[in-house]
Amino acid sequence: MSLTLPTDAGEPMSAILVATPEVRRHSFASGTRQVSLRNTGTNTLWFSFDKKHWYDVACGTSWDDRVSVREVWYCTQVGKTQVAVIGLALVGA
Amino acid sequence: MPFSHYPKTVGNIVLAWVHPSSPDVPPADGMPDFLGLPFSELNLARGPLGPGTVATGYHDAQPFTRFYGSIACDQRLDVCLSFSNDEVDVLGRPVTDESLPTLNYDALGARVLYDPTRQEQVGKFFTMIFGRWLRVEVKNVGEAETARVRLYVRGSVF
Repeated sequence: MSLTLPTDAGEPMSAILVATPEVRRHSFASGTRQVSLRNTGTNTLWFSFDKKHWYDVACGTSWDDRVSVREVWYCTQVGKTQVAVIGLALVGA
Repeated sequence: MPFSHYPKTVGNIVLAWVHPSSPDVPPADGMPDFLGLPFSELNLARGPLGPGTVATGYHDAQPFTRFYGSIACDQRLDVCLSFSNDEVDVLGRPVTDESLPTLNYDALGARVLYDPTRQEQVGKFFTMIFGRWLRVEVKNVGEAETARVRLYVRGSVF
């Protein structure tokens, strides 16, 4: 029986980031099919896909959706927080 | 967008003064970084606290519903947890790390007159949040500088 991957499978591109009031950019090694974030610190995370529209993720919470991006921007309003980010890349044919 | 899953924090120390403190040790190979960052980056203590000296720390209170913690010290301390509801600074700008000390902390959440001879009674504190921003002031009201301090402030999301 041949081994086949489900159609929504992907290769994880994982990173642990530290967000501060300075806006930083995180680039994925390739385009994503899904991005998951978890704010593991104690301050609110702000993140953006285009540096124009920003979303907040409260500490202790996570966010995920099927988005095709190559980079995200992130920061805090005050203090710092830690972020676990996993971008799923398409599995090669 | 599907915001968001129910909050549960792992690391929840928002402020800490620990002196003397343990050295930082990097995570073991192949193991998670359970702390997330070196404890020295959380620790606000920069040495002994002299008599009459005040150490102050700030944190966003909004992510939490209450704060709790513990105190241990060889000197008497006056510990105050206060809250500000200012949404902007005096110039109308969004609050930043730099402007946190300039806000109005009108709501006193908890005050502990710590005495090392009464550890069981005064070695702990708890407060709901009464504002957007938390300020914690630690004043040495003893006769000598502190030889040891352990003061942890933790936030609870429930």
